[in-house]
Amino acid sequence: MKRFWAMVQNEVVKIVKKKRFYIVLLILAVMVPVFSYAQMKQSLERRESYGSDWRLEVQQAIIDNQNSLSSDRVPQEWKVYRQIYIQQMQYYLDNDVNPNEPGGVTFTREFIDNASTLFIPLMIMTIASDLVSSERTGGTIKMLLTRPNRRWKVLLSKLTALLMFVSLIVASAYLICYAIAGLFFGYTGWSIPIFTGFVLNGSDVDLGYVQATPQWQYLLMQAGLVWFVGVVVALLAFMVTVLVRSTAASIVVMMAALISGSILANMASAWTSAKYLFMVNLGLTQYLAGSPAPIEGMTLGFSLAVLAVWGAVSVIISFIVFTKRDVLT
Amino acid sequence: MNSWKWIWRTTAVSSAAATLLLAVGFGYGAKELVFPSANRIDTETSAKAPLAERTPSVEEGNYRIVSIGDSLAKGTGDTTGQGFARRTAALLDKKSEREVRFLNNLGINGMTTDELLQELEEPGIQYVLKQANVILLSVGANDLFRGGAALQAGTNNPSAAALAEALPAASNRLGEALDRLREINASAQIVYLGLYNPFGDIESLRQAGDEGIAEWNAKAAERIAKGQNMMLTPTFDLFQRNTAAYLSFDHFHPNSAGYQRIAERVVQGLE
Amino acid sequence: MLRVRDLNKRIGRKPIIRTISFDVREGEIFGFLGPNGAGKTTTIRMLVGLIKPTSGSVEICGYDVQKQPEEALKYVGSIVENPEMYPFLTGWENLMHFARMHDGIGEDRIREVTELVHLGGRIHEKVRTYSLGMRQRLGIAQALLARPKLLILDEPTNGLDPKGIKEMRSFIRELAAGGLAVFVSSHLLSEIQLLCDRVAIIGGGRELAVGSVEELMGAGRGMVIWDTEPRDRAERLLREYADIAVLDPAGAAGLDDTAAALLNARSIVTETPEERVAEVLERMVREGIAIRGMHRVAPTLERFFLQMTEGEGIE
Repeated sequence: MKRFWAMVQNEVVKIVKKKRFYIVLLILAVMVPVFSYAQMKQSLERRESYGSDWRLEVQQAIIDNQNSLSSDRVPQEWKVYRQIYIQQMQYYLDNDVNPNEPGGVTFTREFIDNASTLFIPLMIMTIASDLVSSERTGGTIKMLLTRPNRRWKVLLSKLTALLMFVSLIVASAYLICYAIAGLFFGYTGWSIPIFTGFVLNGSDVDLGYVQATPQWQYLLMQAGLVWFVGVVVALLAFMVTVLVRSTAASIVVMMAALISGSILANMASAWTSAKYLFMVNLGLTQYLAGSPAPIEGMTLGFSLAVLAVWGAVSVIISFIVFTKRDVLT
Repeated sequence: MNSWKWIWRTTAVSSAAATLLLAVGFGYGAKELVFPSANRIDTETSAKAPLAERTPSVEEGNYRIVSIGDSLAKGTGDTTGQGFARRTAALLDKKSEREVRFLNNLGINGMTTDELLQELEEPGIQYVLKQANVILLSVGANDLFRGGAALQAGTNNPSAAALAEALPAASNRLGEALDRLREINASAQIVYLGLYNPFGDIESLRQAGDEGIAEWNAKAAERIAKGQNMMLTPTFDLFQRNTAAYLSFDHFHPNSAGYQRIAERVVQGLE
Repeated sequence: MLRVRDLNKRIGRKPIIRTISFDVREGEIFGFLGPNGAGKTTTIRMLVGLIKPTSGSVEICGYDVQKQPEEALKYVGSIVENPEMYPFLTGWENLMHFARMHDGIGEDRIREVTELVHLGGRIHEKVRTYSLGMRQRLGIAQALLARPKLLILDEPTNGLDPKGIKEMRSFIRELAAGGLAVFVSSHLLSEIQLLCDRVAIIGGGRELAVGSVEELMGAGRGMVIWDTEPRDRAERLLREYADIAVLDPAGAAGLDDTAAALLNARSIVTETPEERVAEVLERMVREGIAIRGMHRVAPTLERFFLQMTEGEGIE
C-alpha cells in the first residue's frame, strides 16, 4: 500500500515535471480573458439598446422568440428549444430574477456551461492522452514494468494520478475563470437565485419542480456534473492511450470522438440510437439549466448511466490489455 | 528531494479537497435532477408573480415609446426591420428636443384582440407598459381578415357577411383592451393605428373590405374619443391608392415606405 | 539463480523462440551470443516479464517471473536494449522514481550507486543533457539500485567508445566478483570471449549450444596451418587421414586476424585433431617434406558458431 502511493506520487511528479498541467493552466489563463472581454463587449452593447433595465431586454427576448415560433422558416426542433426558452425566460421575468445578472460568478457559470463538453475534456486529454503511450514511445515502460510490481498496480497508480488531476483541472477552471472574470465583472453574484428543476415534457416545461437555487449551490452542482463528465472522459482517454502506441494518435482519436459528439448533438438527431454514444451525453449541465436534451429520451439518469457504462468498460479494457500485452517496443 | 515532496503534498492536498467538493456537488446535483422535489411557490398564477409588484423607476421629461399588438406593431414587411414604431421614435428624435427612448417592440405576428387581452395580463408586459408614456397599438386586422396568407391563396376570402359577423365582438374587445391599457398606465398617450384595406387593388374584395374597415374605424374612433389621452391615427387613406408602392410583396403589410408614411402621421399627432 | 526451461514464444503462428533452456549461477558472467535478429532481445524480455512466453518457464531465485513477478523481479536489475530514462527528470529524480517502486531503498543507496557509476558530478542535471555513455551508466545505476542478485544487460557496450567498453568490462567483472550473477547479451563474439565464463549461443530463435567458453572452444576442432615444401606432396599426405579436413585457405573463415596474417601461397589449412599432429609431423619428416612452419590455431567460438549455423554469418 505504501509502495502504491509512492508510485502514485511518481506519476504525479512526472505529470507536473512534464509541464502538462502548467499548459492546461496557461491555456485557461489565456482563454478566459478573451471570453470575458467578448462577454463584456456584448453586455455593453445590450446596455446601450435597453438601458439599465434587464427586464425590458428579457421581455424583448421572449417576444422575439414568440415571433420566430410563428415563422414557417424555423425548423420544428428549434421551435421546441425556443418554446422551452420562452417559458424559462418568462419564469425568470415573472419572478423578477435576472437570468443574466452580470458578475464574475454568473460569467463563470456560463463559461463552464459552454466549456463542459469540449473545452474541459480537451484539457483533461492534454494530461491523459500520453500517460501510457509516452512511456511506450520513450521506452521507459520497460523500466516501469521490470520492477517487482504487478502490472495492474502500475496502471492503477497512473489512473489514480490522472483522476487527481481531473479534479484539479475542474477546480482550477473554476478558480481561474472566477479570478479573471471578476476583474471584468466584479466578484459578486454568489447568492443570485438561479432556477433549476425545469422538467421537460415534450415542448412543454413543467414548472412544478422549479427551485430557486442560490448561484453558489448551482455552481456546486454544475461543478459536480462537469467533474463526472471529466472523469469519464479521462477513463476513455486512458483506455485509448493504453491501446494506441503513439501519443499523437491517442489525442487524435479522442479529439475525433469529442468533436463528433458536439456535431451529433447539434444535429438534434433523428437517429435516436445515437443517444447511447458517450459523446452526445457529455452535456450534463444542460439538464441542470433545463435545456432540452439533444436527442429525445435522454434524461440525466440516462446520461449518467451511459457515461458510467462507457467509463467502466474502458477501465476494464485498459486493465486487461495492459496486463496481458507483451511489451515489444 | 524537497521539490518532490512539495509537488506531491500540494497536489495531493488540493486534489483531495477538490475531489471531495466535486463529489459532493455531483451527488447533490444528481439527486436534485433525478429526484426533483416539488416546489412550494405557486407559479401558475402570474398575477401573484413578484414582478407584478414591482413598479419601474421612470425618468421624466423624455419620450418612452412602446409598441404592442400585431404584425404592424412589430413591423413585418419592413425590410429594414424598424416598422412604424421605431420609425416614429426616430422621427420624434429628429424633430423634438426631448430625448427619445424606444423601450420595447412587443408586437407579435398574427395577434388578435383576444390574444392581446391575454398578453396584457403578463406581468412582464405590464412592467414594460408602465414605463412608457407613448403606447403605440395596432390590432384588429387579424380579427377581421384571419390570416393574410389564406387571403393570398384565394381561399377563405373575406365576405361581407363574415366581416359583419366578426366585427362587433372584436370591436368590443378592442374597447376592453384600451380600458385595460389605461388601467395599467394611467397617463401614457395611447396611439391606436386605424385599419386600412389591404385589398384595395383586388376588385372583388375592395367593396366588402372598404365597408367593413370603415365601420371598424368608426367604432374605434368612437371608443377612443371616450377615453382619456388616446388618439386614433388613420391609415385608411394612405393605402387607398397606389397600394403597390406602399405595400410589401405579401400585399398585406406595408413596406418600408408605407411604414414611413404611418410614422410621419403618428408623429404629427403626437407633436 | 536464473533458471530457464524450454522457453517458447510464438507471435501469431510464427515461432520466434524455440525451446531455450539454460541456467545462470551465482558469481558468473553468462554470455548470450547470437547474431542480430536471433531472438536475444525477445528472450531477455521474457526473462524480465515484459513478454509472456508461449510455453516454458523462467525462474529467478526460485520464483516464477510470470506467476510471482513481485518476488522474482525483486532480485533482478536489468537494462533491456537502451537504458531509457525520463529526459525531463534529472538523473537523481530518475533513480528516485525507480527506487520508489521497490521497498526500502533510501537516498543513501541512490547516493551509493551514483558514486559506483561515477555520475556524482552531474546527477542533478536533466537526463536530456546526458551523453550516451552517461545514460548507459545511469542505466546501470538504476539496475543496481535494488541490490539485485542477477543483473541482466542487453548489449551493454553498444555505442560506447573503446575506453568505455574497457571500463564497462572491468566493471562487470568487479560486480561478478562480488557475487552477482551477470547475464550479458551480445552479437559480438570477442565481447563474450573476453568477458564471459559460460555462454549460450542462439541463432534463428534456436539454442545452438550452452556451456563454458573453454568447453565450447574444445568442441570446435583446432586448426593447423602448414607451411611446407613441396606443397603438393604434403597435401596428398594430409588427405590420407580421414579425420583431417583440408580447408580452402582463401575461404579459411574462422581464422582470426592474427592467424590469417600468417597465410601465404604455400599454406595448407586443415582441421586436425590434436593427437594426430605429432604423427603427421613425423611422417612428413620421414618422407622428406620440408616443414618451414606450422601453426596451431586455437578454435574460436566463431568457428564453432559457423559449424552450428552452417555459415549464417556473424560479425
